[in-house]
Amino acid sequence: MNLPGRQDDTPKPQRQPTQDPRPSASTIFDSDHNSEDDSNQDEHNLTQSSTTMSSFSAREAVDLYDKLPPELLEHILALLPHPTLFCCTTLSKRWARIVIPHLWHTPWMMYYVSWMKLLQSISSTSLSTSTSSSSSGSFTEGLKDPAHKQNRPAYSRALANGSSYDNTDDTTKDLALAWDNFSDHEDEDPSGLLRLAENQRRENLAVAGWEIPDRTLTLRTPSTSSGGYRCGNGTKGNNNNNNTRLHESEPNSVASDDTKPSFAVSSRPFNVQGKSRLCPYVDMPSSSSLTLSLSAATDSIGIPTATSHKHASSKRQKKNTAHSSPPSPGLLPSPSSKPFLRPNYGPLIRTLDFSELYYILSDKFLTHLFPHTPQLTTLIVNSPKQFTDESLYVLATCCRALQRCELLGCDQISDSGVHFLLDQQHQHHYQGSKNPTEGGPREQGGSTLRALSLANRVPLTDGVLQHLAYVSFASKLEQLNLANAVFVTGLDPGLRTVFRCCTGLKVLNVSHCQGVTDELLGMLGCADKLQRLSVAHCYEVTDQGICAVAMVCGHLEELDISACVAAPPGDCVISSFDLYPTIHFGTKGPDSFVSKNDTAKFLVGGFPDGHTSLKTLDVCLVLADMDCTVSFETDCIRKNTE
Amino acid sequence: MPVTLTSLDDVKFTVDKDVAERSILIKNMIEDVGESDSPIPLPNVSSAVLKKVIEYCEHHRNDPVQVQDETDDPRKRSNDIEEWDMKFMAVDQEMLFEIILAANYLDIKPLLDVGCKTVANIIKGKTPEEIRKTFNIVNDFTPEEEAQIKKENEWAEDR
Repeated sequence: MNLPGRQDDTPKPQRQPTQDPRPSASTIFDSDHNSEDDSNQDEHNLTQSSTTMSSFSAREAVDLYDKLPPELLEHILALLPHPTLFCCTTLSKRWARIVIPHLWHTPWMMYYVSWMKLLQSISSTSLSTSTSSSSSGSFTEGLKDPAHKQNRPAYSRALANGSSYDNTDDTTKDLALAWDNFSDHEDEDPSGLLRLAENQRRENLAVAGWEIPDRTLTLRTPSTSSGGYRCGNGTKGNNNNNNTRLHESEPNSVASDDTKPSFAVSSRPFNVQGKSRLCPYVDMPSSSSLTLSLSAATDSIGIPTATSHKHASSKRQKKNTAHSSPPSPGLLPSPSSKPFLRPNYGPLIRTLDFSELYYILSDKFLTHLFPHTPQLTTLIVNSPKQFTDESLYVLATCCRALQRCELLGCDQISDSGVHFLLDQQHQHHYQGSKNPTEGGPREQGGSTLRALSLANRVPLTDGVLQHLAYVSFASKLEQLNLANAVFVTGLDPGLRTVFRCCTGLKVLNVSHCQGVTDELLGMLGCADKLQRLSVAHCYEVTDQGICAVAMVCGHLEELDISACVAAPPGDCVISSFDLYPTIHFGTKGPDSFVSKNDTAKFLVGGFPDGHTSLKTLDVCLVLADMDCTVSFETDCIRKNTE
Repeated sequence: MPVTLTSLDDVKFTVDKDVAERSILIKNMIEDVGESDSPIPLPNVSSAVLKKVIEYCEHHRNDPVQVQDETDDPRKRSNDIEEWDMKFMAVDQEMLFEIILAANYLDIKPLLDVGCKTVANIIKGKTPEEIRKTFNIVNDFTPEEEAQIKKENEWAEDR
């Protein structure tokens, strides 16, 4: 149907009714209706032939979207069953935009409800509830561990999944922090959750290859789909094949035993029976993740699960039963721990990772969620479709403890939202620092914002950058990602202001920012601290700029100059570094880079590939300069160049 | 007491008041203006469409006025159209949309419902390609985007 001359943004057709309904391309009938055609409809040629159609379509063809006002389209969509709506999502972009909310209406409501229930139970006082697992086993999993009868503080943190620039560092830090906070508690694990999570964590560690303190817990979906709704889902047992090892490590975990304390994990709210269809709240396809981090002295927490649409009533009943069933004596914590006076657990949420939950995330949801999460430290949002300033306002107001805020691809936010966020942090900083001594505010609870990402099509202007530069915590900011900020310039106000005022930056990404010039690179206020810098696709940057960076940035560990056409990374550039940073030359291979010192080697992809201006000689020079085993490397080069 | 309605193209229709008052818009107008012989102009409705609308209203003149008891059923059923309505709605797409628009404008909720249900029925059971063809929708997704959308929403399909 891609007829020439028809665009998606066809101007709205006149909605004026005309007296003679023209024979048109749209004279197409549902076959059901054809059979019942009224014969008196002679003025409309019902059997409009396809030949006429094609002759008229160029002129007549008007998207249904343009024919009816939105409210009527909504009305129609409300009448469609889910399979049809699903079909409609792929009609066109505009259609997808209006159809998806309908498609998700029911699941969304349940998603919403289950989230609210989760929060409610997090904040609820009746935490010692044991929840029976449903007989189907796929609804609620009661996890228990008879070996642990008492309560123990748990810090469970779901790891953000690959979405952060320096994930590991942060995580390690956080976990270490958590360990510090909670290491002095010696309660026991009522539910086996902790042990389970511990096992899980060890597995993760084994994979990730780094170490964190003992007994700091990580809940993570051991998912091959590498994503998901991670509140305790790492412990659920029905996650298709992903969780088989959990079962192995925790053979009792599926027992539906009401008499033992159990951690009822909000596992997948719906019956998804071993199919690849994934429940989006639980396991988003691909690498989506929704990370909820809970850190607290937890009693056994009963988290009501969302009920399945299809079996709502029966399951609700089950849940009610579960909640109404009085905890058995063995389940009650010792009197001193007073489970019914537990504080609100909403503040325990530290991390919300919404990366790749493009369509689900919405202002409506977030504006309800943020007020419950005053201790939120990390927020990751990536390319949301329904994320606007409204969320930012609530975020700014409610989440003062924000440390890392990644707003990637948020193309619907504007200066004012970010401005407000910065402002609130600024004020918070000010209030926190009554004695504004140098370095004091942090300890006194000032703004903790350390990492800010406003990358990928975030429509920001220089005004925000100026504001950013002048907020009180600008010099405390450690990571700044302004990649692809298309509207900012290299002027003052603009990137120049940021370069000048954000003096504490360790990580700076200004790739795709066309305002970055050699001159600007020479003005880095944070030069002495900078560890990672990306100026990829900054076409104004030349050798000179890189040399300037090399000159002033003594601690640079990583430099991305991919696609800097003006700066073919010759030996002159490289040799101007004292310490050789890892430099990404941006060849075609994903990981082609030279890493520093003795480990210098070419990884997957090959170094010179796609970097035509780079000659073998240059590479050799580079390598020679880098004190590495040239023979080995040249072999690689030969392989790659020839 | 008959009421005279004037369509966009200046065709006059004289209908009974209770027929005309199936339209909440007209009903309110009459209430506001009071009884008068002057025709009611309906500048948004063409005579062909108005004729159909009046036909509908006449057929349904004795229906009880729909009470607003819309239970918020998220997925309303679209297959409970009366037979007469079904036949009435068996018109070409242009006309169908004109009727829907007129019903919306004139505030005739049952007609609007029937119209929307009819459209819904047309959409139902079709493949995306068929729907695009039927409603002249240009697919502006790349195959990758389409796959992504499908993947993201797959789960909601049969909920």
